Amino acid sequence: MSKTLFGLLLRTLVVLAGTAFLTFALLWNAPGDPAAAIAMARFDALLSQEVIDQVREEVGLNTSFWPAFWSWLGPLLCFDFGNSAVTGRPVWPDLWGAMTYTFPLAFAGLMIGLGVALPLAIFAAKRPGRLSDRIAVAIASLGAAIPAYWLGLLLILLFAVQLGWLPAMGARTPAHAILPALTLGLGVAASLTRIIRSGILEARGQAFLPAIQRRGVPEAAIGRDHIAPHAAIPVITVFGLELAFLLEGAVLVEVIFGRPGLGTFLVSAIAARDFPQVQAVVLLTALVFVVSNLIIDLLYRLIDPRIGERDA
Amino acid sequence: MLTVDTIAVKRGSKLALQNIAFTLAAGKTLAVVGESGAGKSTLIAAILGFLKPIQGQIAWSGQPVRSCRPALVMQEPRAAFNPVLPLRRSVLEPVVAAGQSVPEARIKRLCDGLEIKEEILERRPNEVSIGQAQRVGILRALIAAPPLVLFDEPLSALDAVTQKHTARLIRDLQAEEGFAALIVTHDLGYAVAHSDEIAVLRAGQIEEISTPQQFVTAPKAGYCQALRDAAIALGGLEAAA
Repeated sequence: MSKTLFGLLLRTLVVLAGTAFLTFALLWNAPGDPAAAIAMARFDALLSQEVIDQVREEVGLNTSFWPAFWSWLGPLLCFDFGNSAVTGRPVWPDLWGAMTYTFPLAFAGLMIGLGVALPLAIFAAKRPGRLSDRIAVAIASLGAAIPAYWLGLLLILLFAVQLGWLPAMGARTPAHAILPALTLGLGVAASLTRIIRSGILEARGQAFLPAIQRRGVPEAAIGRDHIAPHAAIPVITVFGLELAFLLEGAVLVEVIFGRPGLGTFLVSAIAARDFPQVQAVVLLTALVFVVSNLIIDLLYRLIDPRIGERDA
Repeated sequence: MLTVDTIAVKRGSKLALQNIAFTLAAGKTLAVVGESGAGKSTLIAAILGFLKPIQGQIAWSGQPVRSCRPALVMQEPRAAFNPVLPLRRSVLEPVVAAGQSVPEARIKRLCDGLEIKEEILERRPNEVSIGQAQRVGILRALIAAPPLVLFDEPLSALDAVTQKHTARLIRDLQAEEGFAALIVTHDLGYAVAHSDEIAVLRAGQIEEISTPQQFVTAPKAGYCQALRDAAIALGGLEAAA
């Protein structure tokens, strides 16, 4: 087990190091003059070459790639994301502020998604092929087909404009988070419903089940011991992928609902070529991914010990 | 007693069984033989209640069959268990479900009878041989002392030596425990050597029900006779008869 954990951690570190390098390399080689973009963001005006060169020197863009990379990576290893090239403020407090908006929103979206998908999928899988199943699958397909920006606007129209129940824009009160969370959550629910449904149906077709189904083993025990763990494997996999959707979706949803968060943070950082800020967001996202994948890998092993043994 | 009273069973839109009627008393063995697609597995599914007859009835002593908690021994020994769980947990499942305490003495006695070392019950299905897995499958079937055990091609995944050995173990345990056994098989030699009656199934209908002796010496003309002759030609019946 410790060997497995070590392997997984090593893989995590390699992914993080690769992400750090690639992001830096892509930003460094992006077309256009980063110093001009930073100067433009700082002073919000067209500037002379002299000022641009001054900015270039100040933020360390006047060296070659490798010295610039190492001078960024060094402090990063001590968890120092550096200072914003535009505002000069440390990146971390601003990033943390953005996270406090985005992460709860993504979490609420995930919970809504699961809360809708689980009962709907169980309901659908009860009588596969029947009307109830078809309706549930149709709802899920419809949900998957509607893009988040369209769903968001529909929800605003209905709940904010027509009914006046909920606020449409901003992030002042918890009520402001309801529509964005619903927008995210219903998108997640759509794909999760289909995966959980097919997971349950596949698990119910396991070859060994007829050998115990007439032995007096209660249906609930069969569901808990044999069907749920088997159905959980694909669900966990998709759950991990949904995290990607949620972070992407959160960026979009934040724009639609005029909320602060990682979305606005990242968009303004990229526009200004604010290297430290962009790097910080990308690394944070990568960290979320690798940690969630690490957890998923460990969950696989918990549900099916054979997975760990195959890798050992 | 198992009573199958003139049933017809559909699989999808196709009639898979029709006019099937027989009885099977406690302690007796009925072998159901026939080629692939004859409806042997459909018969097992119908007896267990997974397929509902569109006509006729199946009962155990006047009650629905599931009331006697019938056991099933499956064709693929390893696939017959949840691959993730240790065998012991799968074996004990019917007992635990009934809220009974773990019958250690019975496990030991059955393990002795089936020539299984108890340690292998701590392993998972993929960690034991196919022969061992099949014997553990029989152990699971018998653990809660069911009055009816259905065997779906119990020997077909095993090598010749293990086949012979397992067939003898099943017969010995039946003599001890007194359960009624319905054995679906395409192995005529096994059916003749180890059953009290043989039912020949063809295209969803019973061609003939006879004793092994009758089947070997005077099978019904036509399909049953051809089946017997083919088995003799392949050398499967001399050893058994």
